[in-house]
Amino acid sequence: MATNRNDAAAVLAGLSRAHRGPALFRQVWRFARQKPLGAVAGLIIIAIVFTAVFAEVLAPHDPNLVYGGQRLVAPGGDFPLGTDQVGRDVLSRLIFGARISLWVGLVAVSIGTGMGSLVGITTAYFGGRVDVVVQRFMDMLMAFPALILALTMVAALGSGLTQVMVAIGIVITPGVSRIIRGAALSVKSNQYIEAAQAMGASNGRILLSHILPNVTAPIIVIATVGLGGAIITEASLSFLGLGAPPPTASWGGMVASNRQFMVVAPWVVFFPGIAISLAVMGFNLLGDALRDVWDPRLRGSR
Amino acid sequence: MQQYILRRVLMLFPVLLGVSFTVFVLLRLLPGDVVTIMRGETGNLTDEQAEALRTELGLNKPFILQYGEWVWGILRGDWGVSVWSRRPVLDEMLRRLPVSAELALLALIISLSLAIPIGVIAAVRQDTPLDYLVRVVSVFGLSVPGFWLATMAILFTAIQFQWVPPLKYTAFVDNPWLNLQSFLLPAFAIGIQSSASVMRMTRTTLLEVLRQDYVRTAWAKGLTERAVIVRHGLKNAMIPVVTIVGNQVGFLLGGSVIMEQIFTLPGLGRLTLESIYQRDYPQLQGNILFIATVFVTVNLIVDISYAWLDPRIRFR
Repeated sequence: MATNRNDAAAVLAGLSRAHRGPALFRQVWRFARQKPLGAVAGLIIIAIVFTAVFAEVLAPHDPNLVYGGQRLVAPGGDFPLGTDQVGRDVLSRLIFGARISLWVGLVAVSIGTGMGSLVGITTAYFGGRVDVVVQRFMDMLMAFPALILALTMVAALGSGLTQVMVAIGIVITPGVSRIIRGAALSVKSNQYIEAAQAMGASNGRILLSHILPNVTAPIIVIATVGLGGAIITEASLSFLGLGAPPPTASWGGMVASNRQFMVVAPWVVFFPGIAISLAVMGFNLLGDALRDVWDPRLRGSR
Repeated sequence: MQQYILRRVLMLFPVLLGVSFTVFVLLRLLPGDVVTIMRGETGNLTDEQAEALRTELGLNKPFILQYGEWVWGILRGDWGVSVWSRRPVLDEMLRRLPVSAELALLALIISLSLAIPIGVIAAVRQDTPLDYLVRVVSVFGLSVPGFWLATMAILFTAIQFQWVPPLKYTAFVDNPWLNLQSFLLPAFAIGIQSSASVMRMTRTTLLEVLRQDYVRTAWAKGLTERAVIVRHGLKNAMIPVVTIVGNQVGFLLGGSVIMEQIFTLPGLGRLTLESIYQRDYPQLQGNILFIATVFVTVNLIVDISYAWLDPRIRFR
């Protein structure tokens, strides 16, 4: 009996492996035709990720190199997007800034969706007192406006990139846990969960291999939209001087440090803002499109 | 209804107690204590001074006793004393509150007066170029960072009209015109941003409502378009919109920190930020508790009005 089941599983796994390449491609293609705006957003994100990964190759200058006597040079020539108030190349700083934004966003969202999903599926599965206590605690965290909670966390942990990532991750957690709990509750009522319990599967196994795989769609949607939010929050904290310490190139920090000079040199504040908006818009649009395709019930959950 | 309100108001107390505890614990997560950090940064506190400050702040008492004394003080109206300005925390907060309240109110007015009409038009003219434009603009509005929008607004008015907001804040009672001038740009910056999500919500819910049977009946009765959309459609679509407006208050409170910083408005948000920079923990914990209390209370009011609008909720 046991070997039979394993054989079947192996065959199934083999089948899906054999079809994964073209199937994935077909799925992406179908998604692009169904949701052209989502596909464009996907391309924007790919471009930004590419920029962040190959920053060394793509940047025309060293982002922290000061060109003496070339302060606030207008865009064009050697400096396609001009130079900033101390004479650093704006384009190169933007390119390296993508790295900070994406990295902080990615880590923060992994922390937030990781903890949130864990809390969501366990409270939904066990229910009862655990559910009540943990959800009340999550409500408590939601009693703070998001940016205020992030500020408080940074005030408590100190400023810096790691602290910002942890702070944003914690800010995201309660919202994620609430949505995933809802999704997990409806998965829990399925018969295959009861069947797994009857077969003597452990709680851990049911949670990880029966419930979790069935809530991945909402998790990915929340994570995508959450990335946009995390990038804005990181930029806001950096703008307030609580994020990446100078001279690190971060988009929010670039706007803050160059603000005094914006009337004579608008490019020093214009381009970083465009970069932030583009990145965030990419994640928002992709998240919306994925939600429409996978899980229309989540619509309006934000 | 009264019972529902009573139940919800009573539920507020444990939440606020939890919130105060969370704030208190959070700000004590740092390694060492406040005094150690202040010494490290200013470097001009003697051992005796440090010890005196610790005694003043009650830092050498057990943790739970410190918390108890703080909460008890708050209940009696004594929120502690700022270590920076040496003034009572509550006085400083109340002095700054009107600025933030005015900013939030103006922003909310701007947000709603943009979002609801535009959301309705987009829903009524669904899938026309106008609708697409509204949708694209609202996604953009959700994606633009507030501090950048505000910065661009200053830049634009400075270059285009040679006008910058007044550098010094004037109270409304002293000079209403100057006062409104300093609020113009920040209120628009937050208002426009917050209108993006309200607009989306108005559009989606109105679309859903307009597909209902009773709306078809209203059309069939020969009512005017105005009566169908406003009386039958919008009225029923407002419930989720009210909820999202409640959420927006949190956004406004957070956004005001950034806007008050950019426009040097002496409000609560700026006070919070200053107390973070100056490591003024008594002031900071007071501010955060206050902001969270406002947020929770607003959401309670939203929930109650929600129940008032929709009787089904009361009986759940």
